[in-house]
Amino acid sequence: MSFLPTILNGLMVGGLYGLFGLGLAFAFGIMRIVNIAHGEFIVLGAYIGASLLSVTHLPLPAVIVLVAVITFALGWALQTVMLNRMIGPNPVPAMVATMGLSIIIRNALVEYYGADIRAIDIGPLQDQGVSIFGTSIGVLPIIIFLIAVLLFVLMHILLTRTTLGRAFRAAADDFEILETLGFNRKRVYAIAMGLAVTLSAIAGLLLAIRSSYSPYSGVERLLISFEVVIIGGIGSLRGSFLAGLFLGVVQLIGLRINPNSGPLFGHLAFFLILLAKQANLPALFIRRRA
Amino acid sequence: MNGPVFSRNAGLIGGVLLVGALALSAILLPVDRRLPMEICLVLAMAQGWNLLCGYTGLLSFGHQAFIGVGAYTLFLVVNTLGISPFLGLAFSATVSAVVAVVIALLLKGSRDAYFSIGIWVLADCLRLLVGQWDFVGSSQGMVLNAPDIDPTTFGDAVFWAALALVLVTQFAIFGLLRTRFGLGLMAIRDNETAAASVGIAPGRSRIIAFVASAVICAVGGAIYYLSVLYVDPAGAFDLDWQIRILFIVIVGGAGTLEGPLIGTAIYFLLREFLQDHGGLFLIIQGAIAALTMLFAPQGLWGLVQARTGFQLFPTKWVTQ
Repeated sequence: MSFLPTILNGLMVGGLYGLFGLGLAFAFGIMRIVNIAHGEFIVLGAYIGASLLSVTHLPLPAVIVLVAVITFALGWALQTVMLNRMIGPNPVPAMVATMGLSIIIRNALVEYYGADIRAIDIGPLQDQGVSIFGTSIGVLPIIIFLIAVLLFVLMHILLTRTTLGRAFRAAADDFEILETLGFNRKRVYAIAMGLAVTLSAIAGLLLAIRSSYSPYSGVERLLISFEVVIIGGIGSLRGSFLAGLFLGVVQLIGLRINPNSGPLFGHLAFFLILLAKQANLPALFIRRRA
Repeated sequence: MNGPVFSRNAGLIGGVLLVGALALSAILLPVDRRLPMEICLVLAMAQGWNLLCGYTGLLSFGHQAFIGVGAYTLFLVVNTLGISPFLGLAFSATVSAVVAVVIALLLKGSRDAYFSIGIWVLADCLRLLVGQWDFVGSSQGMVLNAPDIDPTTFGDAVFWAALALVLVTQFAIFGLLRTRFGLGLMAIRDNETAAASVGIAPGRSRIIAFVASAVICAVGGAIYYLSVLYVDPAGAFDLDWQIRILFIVIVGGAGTLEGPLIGTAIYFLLREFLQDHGGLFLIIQGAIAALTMLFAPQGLWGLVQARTGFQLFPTKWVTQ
């Protein structure tokens, strides 16, 4: 059997992993905040989307926009109410606080929706396929991948062509300069966190449409996001995108080889890359004087 | 003229009395010793993790890895070599120390969030690998095969082991903090750059604290799973262990010896109080952790110490 369909599917799911990583890297790059609840926001996007779909019967694009608005507000509130009070050289308080938040969201989802594994059903589109390079690929994964690419392009335009984007990049370098230019640092941060959460939640909703999710999926999705950030580097849209594609392919090939391996192969690939990045060979031979 | 001495030896006596009273009540009171045993183990693990997080600033989200490694090592050596389970604890300590050194080398260049989540990924790897390993029962887990266990005394024996672990941990860390090395650790906690400038090696101190915390968690995990005679990867490598430890240290006060005592008391009171509402208990736990970071980032004992300067376990030097 050929691995081509697996690789193509890995690329398509990888686009979403890239978005996961982009959201995490965005908050970390600008505010030096590692949002441990990132994975739970990804899952929350799926639950909010699923509820809206079943309650309102709106078309999927409208639901995606609604989820974006709601999760932006959540991210904005998270930064304004909690994280803006924890900015500083010590990263521990924000990490512990968002860890607490992740426990709250995870268990609230279990209490409200139950712990079972779900999938979102959006009707006949799910079963349609097209033939590429002689292998059949679902139409839905292609659409989802294109949405992911579109979001990356929009982020690129936002960061390079708009005042807000320049403010983000300036905030990542030096927030004091930013304040002398008349920006309100805390407002810029709140918008950035809103955007970071929105990106991840939309990606989480899209992932839930093409695979399954449960309240406990958040941890795995946080770890994937983190791996994307480390492999792709912070502050690089292209890096996040490529790292996402790489992890997507590795994970799906791993699952083809061993269906019970879960995210194991992705983790191992991540550590190989981490080691390769760390292996500063000359340093092994030159003794550094303390 | 007297040189610098440790302050408030009266406070030290208070600490001894407190821990003695706790141990005594644990021995005398309950017929069912499972809960006191768990309290002892979780407190010991929290103190170990606190040594790492509170004093060297390395926030680990992956110490469940060592709990699992300790438990599985014990079950493996007891089942294959047929030795006494309590002798097996020495193997748990040794193997976890080796694993900790390997992890320290892997994450050598990773600080802050990179370390926190890197070790989390590693713990997840171990969980998945053990879950694939048929020799230890893969995801089904394994049963301890120790026919010479006497069921009438086993429960007590495990409890004594847990009590010994927590007392040794508490006083070993207390003693350690009063040595040159411990003062170095506290200097790193307060200001790493300044500490390095007066000749303290932060890197080496961090590795020693890391290995020590790993060994304590491994032995704690081994005793816990020994008491239930069964271990499985989903339980032994469960993130909930880490959340429990983190909650206790953070809410009680990281970087103090008293903080984990308070945190453990709060954790178990809350858990017993909300026994029938598992989900609500976890949600409240998360909320308390987040609120602590908002309003008392030094933890509850940090608040007390800032107001009164009192220490149950005095680790400060004063000049007489």
